[in-house]
Amino acid sequence: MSLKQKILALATLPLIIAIMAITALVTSQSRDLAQNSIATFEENMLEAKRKELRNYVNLALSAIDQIYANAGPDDVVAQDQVKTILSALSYGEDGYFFVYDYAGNNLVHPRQTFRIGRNWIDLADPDGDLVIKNLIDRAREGGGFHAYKWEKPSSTEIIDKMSYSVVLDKWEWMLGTGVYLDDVIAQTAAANAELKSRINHTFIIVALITVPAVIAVFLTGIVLNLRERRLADDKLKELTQRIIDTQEEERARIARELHDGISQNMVGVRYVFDLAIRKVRDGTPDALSTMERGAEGLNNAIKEVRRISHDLRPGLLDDLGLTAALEGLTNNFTERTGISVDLVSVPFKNLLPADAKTALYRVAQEAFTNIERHARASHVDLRITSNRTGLQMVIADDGHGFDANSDAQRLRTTGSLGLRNMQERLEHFGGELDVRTSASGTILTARLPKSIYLSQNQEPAHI
Amino acid sequence: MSNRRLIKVLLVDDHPLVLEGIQAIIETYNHIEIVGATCSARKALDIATRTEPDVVMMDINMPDLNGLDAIELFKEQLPHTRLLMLSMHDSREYISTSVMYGASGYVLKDVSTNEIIAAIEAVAAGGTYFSSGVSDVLMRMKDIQKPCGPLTTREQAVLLLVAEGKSSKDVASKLEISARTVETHRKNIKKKLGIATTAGLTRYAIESGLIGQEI
Repeated sequence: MSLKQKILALATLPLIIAIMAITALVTSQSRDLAQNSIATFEENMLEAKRKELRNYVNLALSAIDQIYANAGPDDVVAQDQVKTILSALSYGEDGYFFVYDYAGNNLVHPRQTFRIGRNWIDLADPDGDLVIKNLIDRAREGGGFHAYKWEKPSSTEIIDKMSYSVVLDKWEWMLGTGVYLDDVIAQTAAANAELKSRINHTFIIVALITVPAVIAVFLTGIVLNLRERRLADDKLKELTQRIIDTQEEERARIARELHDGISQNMVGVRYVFDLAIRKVRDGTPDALSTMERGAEGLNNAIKEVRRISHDLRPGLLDDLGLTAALEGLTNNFTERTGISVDLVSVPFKNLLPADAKTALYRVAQEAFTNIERHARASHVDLRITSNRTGLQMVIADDGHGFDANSDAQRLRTTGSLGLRNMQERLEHFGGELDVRTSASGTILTARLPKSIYLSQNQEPAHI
Repeated sequence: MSNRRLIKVLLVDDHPLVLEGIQAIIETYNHIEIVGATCSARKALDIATRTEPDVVMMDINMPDLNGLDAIELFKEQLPHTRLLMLSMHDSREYISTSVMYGASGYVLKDVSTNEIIAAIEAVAAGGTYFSSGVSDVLMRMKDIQKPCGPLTTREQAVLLLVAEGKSSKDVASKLEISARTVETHRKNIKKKLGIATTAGLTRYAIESGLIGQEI
């Protein structure tokens, strides 16, 4: 993974994580809330059912009250009358009353008449609940509710049912009625389904917000990335072009010098020697002076080559070291410009690796070019010192200083890479460039760390 | 002609064509004998110890051992041999450095053969010779006296060893030169740096970052 990808991931990952966390929190809270309200709703429905059941039972009790109150414990007639009344009583589609004695024998069951007269104390619903026994127990406890599974008469399905039972203790009977809870279950299920769909809905909305947001962050990152890369590319292209231009100019200059100077010179020499050959062949006496003229022409060519070679790279730097090369540079500078230069350097050499020497030399060269072009100085001090921390080169002129910004611009337009170039050359060796300029002159300080010094412990016997 | 002593010359130049050319020209002069012509300063040292030339005419730019450092070695091993530098460079820094290292003359390669012969004669006779163009450069240089003259390669090597606490004898055996030569170097170093004591030399080497305290 590249650095850019890492940064992009770092930007989008927290966003995704935050959104997911918020979504999870909101979802779980809204689910809790909804489940609470569903539970309340269910409880309310059941409560209404209970009330209803109690009312039905009271209704039945008041219907038989007259007969039961006046009957004796074993009044079979009264008992039959009560059975008949209760068998006839019904409400709604599936509302009926049932009666069992304490032993579990069915006495009244208008919808399932096959139960009448038989004992059902051991009857269990699909969940294993001893339905009749429990109904009798609730009733004998003073009346109570019991939930179980029972066949719904209208649909003959086995579904949840809740019953309320009381006792007719004089006869040791249990009287009860029940309602089917399928509507409660259906409504709760509907509410649950709605909750689920609402959560899904929330998820979709969150996703609709998150995905575009993440994509936006990604796209922005990529666009910025591309833009930056294009800018960097442009800069690189510009730099490359400048290097190529400089190189081409340099080559053109050298080619011109070789062709116009040395080449013509050599052609001249050849003509002179051709002439000398003819003179010698013919026995003309002044062949000697002609040859001397040829030798002189060759010498001029040699001088020309020496000049070009020196311009390209000062051999002094390689042969005699930095101090000598700077001496050469400052001497030339003084001869050319009339600006005096004081050079004080260290008395030793071979301190720096060749490329660092070249860097310092080029920095000095650049500084002198700037002084010559812009500073209007009359004197320059060039000091090189070395101490425990490293090497320092200070070039101070007494010119009028410069404005860093506008002059930098000018330096660039004049084709010189300027201060920036000096700085980069030094930074390559872990060094630095410090330029202080004022109306009374410019002080340029180049520093190189001691860490780049060559080891002086080489075998000195073979210098 | 017969009253002139034969001058023994050793030629050192890493360009075979130049070497051949000069040799061919010099051989036409009867009073000069070429005792050797080689392209390496190290080989030249060997030849010189056998042939004891009066004048070693040597190029400055040579691979392996350059002409300047070779001057010092010649001076150490053959103190009576005179060194004449033959160079393409007309920069005063080359000339002044050659003189500092102990050369008796400096001739540009592009001067006439006559001048080269004159230079050999002058140097062999115990004088100095600087070819036209060189001498006026040297004249201008004379009045600039540097307070802190640059050390030669050998002097720098000696300074480092002395600063590390080595005795003259140790230095001599390490550099394979005589203790007397080391003493001479020491004297010159102290004079050039303006430092009187050995402790001062050590302190100077440390403070200028030459030795010790690697950062």
